[in-house]
Amino acid sequence: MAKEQTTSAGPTAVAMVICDMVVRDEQTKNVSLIGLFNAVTGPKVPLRHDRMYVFVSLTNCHGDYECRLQCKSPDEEVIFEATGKISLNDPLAVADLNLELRGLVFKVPGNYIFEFYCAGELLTMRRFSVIIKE
Amino acid sequence: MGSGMLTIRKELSSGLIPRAEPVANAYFSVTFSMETPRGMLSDDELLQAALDSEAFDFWRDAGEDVYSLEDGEPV
Repeated sequence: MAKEQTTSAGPTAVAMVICDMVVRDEQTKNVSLIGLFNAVTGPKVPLRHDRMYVFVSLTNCHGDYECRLQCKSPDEEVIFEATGKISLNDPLAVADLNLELRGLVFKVPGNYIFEFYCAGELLTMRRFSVIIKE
Repeated sequence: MGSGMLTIRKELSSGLIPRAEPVANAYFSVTFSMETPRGMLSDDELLQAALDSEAFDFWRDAGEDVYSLEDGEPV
């Protein structure tokens, strides 16, 4: 049987999702992502989003990695940044990162972007829009 | 299109797609709370404010207790 191939290039992202809720079943440990979205709407800015989840799945991890999640506004300003370290020594394993963001404030409408870095390298990104509907 | 379907079936049945060991999984969950702007309440603060107010006092009315332990049959 053919062996599963992995590269030695370091972590790779297999998913990045923005959603309303993440539910993890206690018994099976399966994760359900609820309410996936690509846009946030509101009556006016500044718009405060009470709760959102950024879900990132990584694989090909072997060691300790410094990770960073950034949210950038349409004018490239970093409005949110979080850093942390993950440790995983099985390149075939999948690391699911569930990042809950409470109270993120969007000052202007337009296209925002979440960027996820691992060991200083941009692994994946996800755009979303802030739309004002009066 | 039809031949493509046949090709896929052939690959699956002949075992060309490797069956690896069960994929191990690691789960990291973190919450980041931003400071609430002045004059705005978070969901949790709104809920607490509602609980502290008289908004839910009607649940204490005897008329709301339409069921008792004697209702229904044990499953």
